[in-house]
Amino acid sequence: MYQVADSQALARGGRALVRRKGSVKVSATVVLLGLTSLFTDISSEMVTAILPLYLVLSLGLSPLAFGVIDGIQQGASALVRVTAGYTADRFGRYKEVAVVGYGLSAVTRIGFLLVGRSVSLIGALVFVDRTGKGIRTAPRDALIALSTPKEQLGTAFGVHRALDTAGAVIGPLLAFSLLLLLPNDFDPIFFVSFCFALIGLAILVLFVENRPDRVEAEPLPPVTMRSVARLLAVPRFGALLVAGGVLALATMSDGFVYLGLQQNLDFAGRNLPLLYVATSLVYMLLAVPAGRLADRIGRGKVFISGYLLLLVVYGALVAPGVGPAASLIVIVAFGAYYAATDGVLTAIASAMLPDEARATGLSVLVTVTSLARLVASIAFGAAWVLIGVDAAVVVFAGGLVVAAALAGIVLTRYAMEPADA
Amino acid sequence: MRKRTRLAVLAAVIAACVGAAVVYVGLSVARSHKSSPPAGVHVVSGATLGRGAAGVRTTKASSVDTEGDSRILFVSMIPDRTAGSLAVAPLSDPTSLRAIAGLRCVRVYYSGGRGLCLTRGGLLNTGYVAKVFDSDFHVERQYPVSGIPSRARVSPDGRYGATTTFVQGDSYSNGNFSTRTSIRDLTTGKEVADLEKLAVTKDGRRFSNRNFNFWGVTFAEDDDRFYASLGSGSDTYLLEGSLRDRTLKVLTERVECPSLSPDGKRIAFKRIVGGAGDWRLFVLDLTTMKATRLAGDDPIDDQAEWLDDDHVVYGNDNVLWVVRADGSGGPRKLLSYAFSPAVSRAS
Repeated sequence: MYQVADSQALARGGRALVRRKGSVKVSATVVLLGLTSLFTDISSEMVTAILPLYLVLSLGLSPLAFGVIDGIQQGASALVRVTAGYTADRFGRYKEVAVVGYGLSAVTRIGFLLVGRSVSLIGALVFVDRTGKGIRTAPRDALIALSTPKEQLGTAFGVHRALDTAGAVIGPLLAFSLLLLLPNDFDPIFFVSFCFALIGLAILVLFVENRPDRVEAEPLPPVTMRSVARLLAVPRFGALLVAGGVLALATMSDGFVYLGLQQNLDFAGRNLPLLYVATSLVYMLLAVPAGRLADRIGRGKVFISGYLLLLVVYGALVAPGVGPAASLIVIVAFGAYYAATDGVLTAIASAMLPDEARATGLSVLVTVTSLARLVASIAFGAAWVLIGVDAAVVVFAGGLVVAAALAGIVLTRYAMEPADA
Repeated sequence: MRKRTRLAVLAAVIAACVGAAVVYVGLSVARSHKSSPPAGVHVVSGATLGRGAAGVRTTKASSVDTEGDSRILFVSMIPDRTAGSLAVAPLSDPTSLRAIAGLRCVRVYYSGGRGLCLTRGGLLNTGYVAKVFDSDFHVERQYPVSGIPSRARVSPDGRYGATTTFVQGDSYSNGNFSTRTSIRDLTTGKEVADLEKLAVTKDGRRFSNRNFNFWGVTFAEDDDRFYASLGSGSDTYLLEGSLRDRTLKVLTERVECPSLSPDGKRIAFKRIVGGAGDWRLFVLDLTTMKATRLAGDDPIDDQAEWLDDDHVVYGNDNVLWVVRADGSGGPRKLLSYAFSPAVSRAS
């Protein structure tokens, strides 16, 4: 059954292929969705970059309180994410569900201009924004997968993530430039952010299309726990969830990595955003090569290698006397880790999921990995307090070695087709 | 829609969005230039402070600088990263510009060219310390204080400093608290009196009880006399003390947190007029021993400060208020986002 679906996708993908410069070939849909993500990410990263500053400096909220609220919302959006993914699959309306997600986030930008300094309303806006992000991710990735032949999924997600990350580089730079131009005035940032969100939304609405055969198909039965559970019962996908989950459990959150790097590399606190931008830049540049490499030598290999790069980063956090030259290596390793894992994991999942359950499956995968990462984040914070930061990193590094070995076995034994491993 | 139409719509959307963004940023820049403050002055816009709030102009403080004009020192509570910082403003027009110093204080006082700033300190900032600072905000010395800071006072010539801390409980409003009040020589940092160790007399007789609590010192000009309040259960007393004789004498009852007027003839204080915590400000004439209630309906928990011989300033809910010392008129708002007032008079 999967064989049939795959060969159909192959034929369709072949027709939709667009030649781009170099030898990277992806469909127009992938580029358009990448552009949508580029503009949306400029918009959202502008706000994300300055939101802590805005809340803490302008409104006097403690960063801890913001972190707690943020964490709770991450968990809460899991339900929305799976529901949105399933809805998209059920009616074949990937684009429409994605439009709702992108639209919700765009609306919140104007909201920031209107709510003034009410912390509860700002909290509500952040919640709506995260909800929008939760809604759009799975249908968008499903659209990318549906418009790409299976053996090029790595490249396609690489192209999308490169464009997406370009937004994550531009957004903070733009926001901080505006803040330099207009100190203490956050309204222009929110307004410009809204403009970029609208452009991203316009590209999606005007140019991206659903696959007509999926829209015309009979809708699937309504979402139930059982239908989601049945999906998890697909043995290869279950194995992938286990592999992705255990690796995420051994992954320190970005915030902790940057904080640790800053301490160990003797980086001034005000340069912290630079670390973030530099890492994103590396991620952006390596996303396409990593995706192509994954398509060529096997996605599982590239995915696991990515986590070995993360191990290098952990090492730099505890290694004594890391100089500025080594810090460059760390930034490259961290960016390369993202390039080798984020889009590649989605590509692995997309390849094994049946067409009609792709958005649902992707949303379940994102939910599992992000919840695991949340648990890891809390565990790391607790370990930091209990046994100190160095010991905590060592424990996580040990955990990562075990998780990578486990994931490697699970992926090669159960999840990958021989050609992919 | 045909592809050409869609491209046209997208071009229109992009043009409109980019245009709107440029116009919005341009207008914001123009507005900020119009109200552009002089170099070194930072404006906290009213919009970030609350609906209908006026903006606050701040700058960096380098000196108390009393030359020519009296100053008011206080803890600034503008809700940004400067919240809790020591600040100084001209007394003639306190809202015009507040200079913010690098010190953070939970209570501050300043007199005779020397200040006392009670702030977090000690091992990993787990406790509190008193920082003694000069007119340029340089910390001359610091010493630990046990408990949670409540009151601070410096003698008119800047020689002595008094601190009151809660070692149990954190408010005067319920009976279950215990305070420590100590006076130090700020030039050496040595303690000159722990009020609990001084002998108290009432009507010429020895007066003592294990439940005594002392708080709220105010100093006279002569480097000897001071006043403080004594609590024993629900009763409170005004004490007159002598540093030289190491004695305390009960003057009258129902007085808390005394504050001596610049002319030394009157004492502003707070007194319970209803239930627990229901204080109002009064002024006691030390010659006639007659107390006059000051105007104002809100409960006040502060050690008042004299603006001049006719006006008293006090903090309530992070706002400084001024009221006439003869009981007439009504409270007038002096300064927002501020507490713990101390007046430094022009010499």
